[in-house]
Amino acid sequence: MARNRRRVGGGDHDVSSHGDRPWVYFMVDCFFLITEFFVIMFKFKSEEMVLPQHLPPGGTVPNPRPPRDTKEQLNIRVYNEGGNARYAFHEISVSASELADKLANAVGAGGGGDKFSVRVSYDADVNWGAVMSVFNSCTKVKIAECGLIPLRGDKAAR
Amino acid sequence: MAMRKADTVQVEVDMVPLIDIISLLLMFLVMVGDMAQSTTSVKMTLPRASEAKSDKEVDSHNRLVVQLEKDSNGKYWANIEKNRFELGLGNEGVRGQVNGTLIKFLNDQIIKLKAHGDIKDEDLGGIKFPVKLRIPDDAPMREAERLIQTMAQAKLVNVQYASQVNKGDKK
Repeated sequence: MARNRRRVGGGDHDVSSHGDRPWVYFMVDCFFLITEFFVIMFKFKSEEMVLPQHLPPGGTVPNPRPPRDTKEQLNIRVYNEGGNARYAFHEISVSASELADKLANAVGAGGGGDKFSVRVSYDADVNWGAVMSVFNSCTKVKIAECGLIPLRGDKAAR
Repeated sequence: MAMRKADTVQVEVDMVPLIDIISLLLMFLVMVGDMAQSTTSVKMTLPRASEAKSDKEVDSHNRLVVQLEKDSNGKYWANIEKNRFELGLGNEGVRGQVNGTLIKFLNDQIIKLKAHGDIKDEDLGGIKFPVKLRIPDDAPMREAERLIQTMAQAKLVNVQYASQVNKGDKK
């Protein structure tokens, strides 16, 4: 009695089956292993955003002969209160969103962001994210000059 | 009367299409995935900024990426291309750091790029060389300030702070 061989997946030829080529199964196993490796290591490429800023050249130490500056200077102090960052804008304590509104109002009344410069001071334990929020607000209202007032003395030491 | 044995049928699976499918899947994973050591390989929570821009909108040619990382002892280091630097040291101080100080490394990079003609000084003493600073959201300002001051001392004025984007606030 003859043994019938039925091929699954198409193919209608008389070429000998994989039984004569056992290495095919090992090749498939290798392919599977390589694929599993890439599946486990797979990670979508993520694009990171950046907030561009312009630093004063030479450091944050003020120039002994400051150039004639016609811009109005806005001072903002960042500090922690109850675990949250707060902002002192002209001695008034505000939140981040309120600060953005106040800056927008100031710029709107002053005739544009190029008429202002912002100086940011902060406590040593304030998080970077809180200060970056000020940069973001300045960028939003097109204030190009936004600099940091560095910590001094014991506050700057570890 | 002898029982007839039923004819057995051997079913063979054709492996050739299976190999094609696996090859296609492999190519997809290799092209779409991101396995290489990239500038974003250090996982950190970045601050949010609604005004942040993508790399296509800013100058990223020859950009240097500096990452502020905290070690297991809570000490912060500046990492550049697998080099680790202690923060807050001037040119004269090398506090047990094999790679030298950060400011020295930056100055060396600037000299190399100037020799190649890739950068030139700006009019007011700053250098038009983009630097991307990856600073974690929860890094204390004491440490972040040291890094930013080092950039300013090296006259690298064109800084880009890495951030997440607030999708809800994006214009």
